[in-house]
Amino acid sequence: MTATPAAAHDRPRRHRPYRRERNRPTISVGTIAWAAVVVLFILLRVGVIWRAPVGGAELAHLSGAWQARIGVEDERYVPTFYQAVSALTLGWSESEVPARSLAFAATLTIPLALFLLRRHLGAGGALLALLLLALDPAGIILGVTATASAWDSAIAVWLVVALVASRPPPWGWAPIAFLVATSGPLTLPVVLAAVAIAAWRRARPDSEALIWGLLGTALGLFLTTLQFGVGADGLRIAPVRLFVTSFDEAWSTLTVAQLAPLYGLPLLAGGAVAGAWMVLRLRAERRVPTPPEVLLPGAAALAFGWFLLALPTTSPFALAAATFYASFLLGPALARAISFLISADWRPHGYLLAITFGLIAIGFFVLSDWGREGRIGGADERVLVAIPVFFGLMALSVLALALVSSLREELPLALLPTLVGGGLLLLVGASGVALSAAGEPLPGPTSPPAARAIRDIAVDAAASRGHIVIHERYREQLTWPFRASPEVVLASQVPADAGVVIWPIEAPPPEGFVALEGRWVLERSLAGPTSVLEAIHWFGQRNSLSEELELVVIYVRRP
Amino acid sequence: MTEALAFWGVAIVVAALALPVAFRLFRAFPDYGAGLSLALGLTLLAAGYFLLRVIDVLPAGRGGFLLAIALFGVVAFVVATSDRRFLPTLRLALPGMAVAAALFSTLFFGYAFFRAHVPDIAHTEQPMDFLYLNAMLVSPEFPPHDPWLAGETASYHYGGYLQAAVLTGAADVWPASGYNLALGAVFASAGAAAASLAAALARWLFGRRARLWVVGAGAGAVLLLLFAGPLASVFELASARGVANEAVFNAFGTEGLVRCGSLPDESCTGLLLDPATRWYPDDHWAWWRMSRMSYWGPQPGYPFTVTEAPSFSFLLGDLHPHVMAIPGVLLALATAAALWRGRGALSWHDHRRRPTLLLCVAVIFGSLAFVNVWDVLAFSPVLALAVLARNRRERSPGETAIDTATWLAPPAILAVIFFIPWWTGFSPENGGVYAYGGGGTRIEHVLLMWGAGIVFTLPVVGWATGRRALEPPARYVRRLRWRWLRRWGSRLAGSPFALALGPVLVPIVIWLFLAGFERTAAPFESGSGPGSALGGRMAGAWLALFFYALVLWLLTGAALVLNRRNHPATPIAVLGALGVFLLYLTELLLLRDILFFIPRLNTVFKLSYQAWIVLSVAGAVGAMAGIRAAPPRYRLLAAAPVVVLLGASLVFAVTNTPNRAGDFAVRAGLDGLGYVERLEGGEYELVRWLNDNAERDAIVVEATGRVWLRGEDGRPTREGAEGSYGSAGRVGYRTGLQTPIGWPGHERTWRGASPELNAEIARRQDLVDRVYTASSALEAVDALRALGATYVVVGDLERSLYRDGLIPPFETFLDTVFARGSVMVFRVPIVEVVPTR
Repeated sequence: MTATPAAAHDRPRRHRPYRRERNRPTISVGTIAWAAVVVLFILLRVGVIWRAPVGGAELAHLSGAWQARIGVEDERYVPTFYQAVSALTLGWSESEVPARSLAFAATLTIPLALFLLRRHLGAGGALLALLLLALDPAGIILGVTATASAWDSAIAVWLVVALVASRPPPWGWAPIAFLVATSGPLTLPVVLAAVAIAAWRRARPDSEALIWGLLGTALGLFLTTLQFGVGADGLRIAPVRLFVTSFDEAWSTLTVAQLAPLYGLPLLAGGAVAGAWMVLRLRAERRVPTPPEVLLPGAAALAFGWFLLALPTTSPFALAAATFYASFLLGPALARAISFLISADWRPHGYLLAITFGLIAIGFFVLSDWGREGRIGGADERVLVAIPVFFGLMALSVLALALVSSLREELPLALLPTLVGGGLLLLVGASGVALSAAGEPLPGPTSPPAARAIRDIAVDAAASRGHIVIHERYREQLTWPFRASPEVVLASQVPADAGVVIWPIEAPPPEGFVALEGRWVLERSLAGPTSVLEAIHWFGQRNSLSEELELVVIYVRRP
Repeated sequence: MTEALAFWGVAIVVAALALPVAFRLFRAFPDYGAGLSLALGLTLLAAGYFLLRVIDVLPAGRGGFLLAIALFGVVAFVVATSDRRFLPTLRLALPGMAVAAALFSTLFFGYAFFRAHVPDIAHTEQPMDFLYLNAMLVSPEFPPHDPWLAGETASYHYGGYLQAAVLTGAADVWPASGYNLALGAVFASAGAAAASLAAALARWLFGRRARLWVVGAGAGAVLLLLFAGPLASVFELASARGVANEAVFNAFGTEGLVRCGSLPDESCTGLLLDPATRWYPDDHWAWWRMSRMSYWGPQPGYPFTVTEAPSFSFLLGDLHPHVMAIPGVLLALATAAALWRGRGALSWHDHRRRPTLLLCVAVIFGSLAFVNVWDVLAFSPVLALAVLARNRRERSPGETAIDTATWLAPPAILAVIFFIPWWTGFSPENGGVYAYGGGGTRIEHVLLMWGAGIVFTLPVVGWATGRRALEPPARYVRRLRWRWLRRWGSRLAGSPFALALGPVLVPIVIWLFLAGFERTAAPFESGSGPGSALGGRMAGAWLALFFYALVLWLLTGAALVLNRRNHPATPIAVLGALGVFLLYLTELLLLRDILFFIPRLNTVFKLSYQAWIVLSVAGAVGAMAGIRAAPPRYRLLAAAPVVVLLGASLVFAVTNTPNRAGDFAVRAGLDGLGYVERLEGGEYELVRWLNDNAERDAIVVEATGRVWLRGEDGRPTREGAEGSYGSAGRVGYRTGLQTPIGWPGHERTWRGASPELNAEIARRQDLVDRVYTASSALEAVDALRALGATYVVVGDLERSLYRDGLIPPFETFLDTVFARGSVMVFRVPIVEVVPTR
């Protein structure tokens, strides 16, 4: 086809504005969104490094790392690679901050990994997954505090990248395998899912990559078995060991079943729905699922299985694993839901949404008022709650029915209140953990600053009087606050050469000693809400939970 | 209820995970092995868990059990995905899976309901069973420690307890409830496995269309295995109802069951009981009499021995190895049957193609010993026979021998390697084989105990009879090259029924040989040598021996004939012959063990139990075959004796279940220690406290069971002898924690009563007694240090055994760490320098 002179004349004019656009520096909305989410991701974590008390799994694992640093074999030293590194940092500084900083540094790579996964999760899906990870309260604690699993989420997400989004060189599998073999249990779901999928698809790994991987694994197992130089006590596989002991150890004041509604409900419920929806969609589309569409649901299913089994246990790892993998399912699902919401015609049913939100808000305000007062209100107030709840549910039902029957594509509108509610819960949980850690039951129980103060006073007093003697009941609790102290004697009865005695408050005072005045707290824990009202109150007022203190008495020998 | 659901859920998960392997092993079964999947899953899982614990990959605790299940799941997934036929098989197996799951669930919850009315872990050897279950759950190292001999590893076939512990631990169930639920799982798993195997044998025999017959065979196997009991129960019931014709009772050798009333005259040979006030025998533990023929009448065949049926075991509720072994035995028999049924010769090349099968066979048959060592002796030969018979269909005799040997060697070697850590710690007393020189068993008692099972099996002989059956296998004889061999061969191998004389004659020859060397044993033995042994046997016992020999000969001959024709009835004949052979052996030979002072107690107990298992499967299919072989119009007539015999067999379970469950009046729950909570709250709290607080490797001191008084000189003086079966050892068995010494008699049984062991037991008993009778704190602490103990328990039991205020005031020199009522726990004081930098 030949261009007319007029058309030839028009061409440069058409191109001019395009050229101008290309030359002008532009920032897309997507970039801004990524930047905003990354900043949120960082902001929600950075304060935790200094603010969060040492508690729960972190207290146990830092104690283990300290024991490793001074060359004492201890069951609390698992060790993962991170725990070995944190033991190293305790040689430079007695503070937990360097170890936490290293955990935070590794966690900071997660946004980059998500960015690399955006082709596989979808741009919006990856961004929303990152947002959910940023807001995940369990993830915030796990990614910054110095538990043995601090690097797990970073390793797991990079393992996903290596498996689905990039092709590492064969030698690259050596460090990957090493990191996985020396990591905590959060990587296990991905590893098991990958092995199962490889078996299912009869995929044979490249032999060179396999050899490098085996070398990395062997090195990892060799080092964990030698406890990174502390000693050898049989074969140790760090992820397996942590997984197994998480069922028996008390690394949290609350059980997983109690923690889940407080911190994980939106992600867990959303993840489960997203997973089911993904399966239905794949069946409907009748296509071969892509690698992440198999790997991530597989890993999430395993993590959910772990979570369900761990419900009665007191370890937060299972919850963290479930919310972590749920985010990868929920992110892409939310992206689709949001695009539906944007394209849906809100006008016919907008009034129903407004009514729903309004009624829910009224109901919530009354309930929170009851929660604050710690009692259920009178008959008139009950009616005040019953009416909005009834009409709210009615409105939701009408909305859902109307949409299902006439305009199926607008069905996500019915989910909007749930999404908003879930988002609010997530925000409250994340901000609570990130900003007001002292009022959170996660982590718990904690070693308060007062415990270190006990140590300082005891050391000062013991200088002129004799040994520091601590009741044997506090064997586990004393390691961290009493690190780098003079010789400490653990005893169940007061020895004759004791100078300072730290004894349970209910035990009879030892003869020849006087008690130092003060309220000495060795350990602090927060009890979870015991009723729905208490939980509602706690969501609004984070410092409302009752605390349990392990009080001790400091006795010094009479001069 | 929650605990039962959790336990059931874990069992179902394990069974589901075993399906990919079951499909590979039992593809020829109508349910594709679904009914065997829990037995298979638990066998593989427990073996894997054991190995991983031994090499310290898996730590103790619930997480270890869950991780083992997760790893098993990964392996199952890999097996499933590497099997192209898995998904099609899964679709085909769905009905079978549904039936198996329904049967398992019904039996499990039904049995749990029953046990909820008699949950106590309180009598016979239940403490010992609970001890091993707890040891599997709490032992910090593997092989597990022996809670009744601190510092030593367990020396017992504890594979079944490990299987129970896997379910209990993974479900996070309180061990005392896990004990009862484990019994339920064994009961249900045994039922599902028996139904699966019997249905497979029936399907092969009757064809695909005969569904009702297949279902009937499966149901019959469940009834015969789990619910049938001795026919003597009919006499027991009649006597309880006041219908006791002495002549009839005498004729059947059950005169001992006649009720003479509570005020007897001198002529009474029966029970000092009045007729029952309820419709069933309602005196205390009436059902116990069905496990000891000595109750049935004078001159019992098995004085002081045990003749137990599985239904009795489940009624009693002892979680013994021979009970827990039932599903594994059926699994092993099903594996052998599936191998026999397969096509193509088996040689070592086969293992390269099917390594999964090799591993499974090794673990299944290795586990037979791990769970109940008697079973490996009885049932491993069945595998060898199955492979031999299959290869013989395809190969010449020489090739058959070589291929069979090379196929069997790798799994045999692997089976030993897998369980070497257990074998090396297993050292029961074993004194070899002896000839039985006693009076033997009366034919009446034989028929009352095992008659139904044997008779039901006999119809299979019908397929083997006929002209062709008696033809000599000339083609074998012709192949023999040398003239002399041909001549002798033709004489010896006249027909399969001539060859079938082998299993009949060989035990007799061995018996004569042993008797010739005066290696005989019998209760009340008056002499030794063949003459004495022959003369000692009763007339009725000779008849019983002849009956066994005749039936064994017929069934063995039938098996040989049928196998030559590749007839699907072959496994039924083999199982029948095996059952009768085991019973036949009990009349001639015995294994010497620690209980040799009661000759053949264990031999009779264990072999007759195995016989019951195989006869229940073979009998169920045989009975259905017998009915079906009749012309349709005579089938009802043919079914009548079967129904009568089966009904009479079921009298035991029907009449004794209400007796055992206390008429189902009180539902106590599943906690086996619930009675301790009700009667001795402090003791129950003690168990809870130790479970929660004591270190897993701690040694806890409790009373030895010996009684001490203060003598005239004020010093402690011992009174009476030691004894097992008492309350002593309760901390060990209720918690699984190590105690210096528990039941000494059982330790001798498990380890062999060597002088060294006796000395060590005495040393420990003396040290423990010194702790409780010490005159000073120093003496008590020295004894505690010598025992390596951390805790000392003082409860009512200790106070009743160390009397007159002998127990020192522990609270003055030890730490009091637990006190509830009269029960206290003291701990050796801790003084320890803790490095902090």
